[in-house]
Amino acid sequence: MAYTSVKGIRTYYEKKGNGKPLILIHGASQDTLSWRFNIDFFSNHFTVYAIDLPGHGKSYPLQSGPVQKTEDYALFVIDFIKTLNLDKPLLMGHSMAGGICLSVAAKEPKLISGIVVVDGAAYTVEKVVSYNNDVLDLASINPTDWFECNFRTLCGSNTSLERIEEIAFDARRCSPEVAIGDLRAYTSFDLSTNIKNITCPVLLIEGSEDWSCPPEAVELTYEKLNCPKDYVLLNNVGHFPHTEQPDYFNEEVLKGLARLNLL
Amino acid sequence: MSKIFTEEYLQQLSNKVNQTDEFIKEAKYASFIVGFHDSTSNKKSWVEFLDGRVNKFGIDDTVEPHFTFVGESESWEQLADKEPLNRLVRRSKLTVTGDKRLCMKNWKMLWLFGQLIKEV
Repeated sequence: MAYTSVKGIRTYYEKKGNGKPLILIHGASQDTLSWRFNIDFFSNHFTVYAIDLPGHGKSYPLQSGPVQKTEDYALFVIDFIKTLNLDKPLLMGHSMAGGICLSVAAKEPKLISGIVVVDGAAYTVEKVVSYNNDVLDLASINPTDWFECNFRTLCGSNTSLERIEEIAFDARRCSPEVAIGDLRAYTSFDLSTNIKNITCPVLLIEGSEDWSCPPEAVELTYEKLNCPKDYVLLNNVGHFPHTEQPDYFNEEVLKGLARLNLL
Repeated sequence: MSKIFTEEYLQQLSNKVNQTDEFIKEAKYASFIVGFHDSTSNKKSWVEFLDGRVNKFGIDDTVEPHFTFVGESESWEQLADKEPLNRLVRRSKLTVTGDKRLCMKNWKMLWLFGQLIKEV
């Protein structure tokens, strides 16, 4: 566990393991805790860095306030990599952070070795994820309850009630202002212009029962990518595969990384 | 027609709601009237909460709800079957009219109410 200063922002991260760097980036309204069932596993193969994005967990927010755009989070991750002088890390991001990883790969294709997109996509605009401005305005009144109810119903059919409670608790740890900023970032992300810049290998992994970032959105991303790529669909899993079914998820990610020569 | 627009069902639902600990805990001190409107059939119903418990309900036009969920018959059937309230609102299959702020301030309570609709 450590802190560093990224462009003046005190940033919290957890570090474990040896080998090539692997950066884990949490999704909207979450923090490093969301990787609690994955860090130990991946530290057997990589030096794992799990980070709290600005305003989440133990990281300070940006001076400009809560982030509202996925691209701004991507710039922060690029600065984090440069601050720690990490050599071509692998990135793994969940949901909104899947978009962050894709955005980093498009902006700085030579900075990283590959990305793993967990229940995320290159296009999470209204027609894909169903959020319009009216719904966002409703959610902005009470983001904490909005996220909790969504998280509770986004888990897959095989997820235990105990695990659903944990995931719901995660949602309530985030400040409302940051949570709604995340939602606006997620629902406005469209990489259609720059997806062609991605050259590194991309592993897309997705719960079959995810209705927040549905398999159709991930399949569209897979079709548009013109780089080494792989797509894994996890059966009976919802939007949080790394937390819902961590053993299943960890093993499938490792197999996918091996197929893409990223181990 | 969805069951939520019948008095018999609203009676059963009220009994269930007033006996569910999780709901009672979430609804503490809640006092407002929520309406339901099937825009396909133009059927309406309402439920009044007083101090966190269902106090009255009806299927008439004599009461002005603080806010109302509006949607087509298919959406109400889905809510009664298995779709959660949050998903239907997110997809704009159900919309909120009236005091949206009051609605969202009581969002988790209303979501739990939507979950109980499936159990009765």
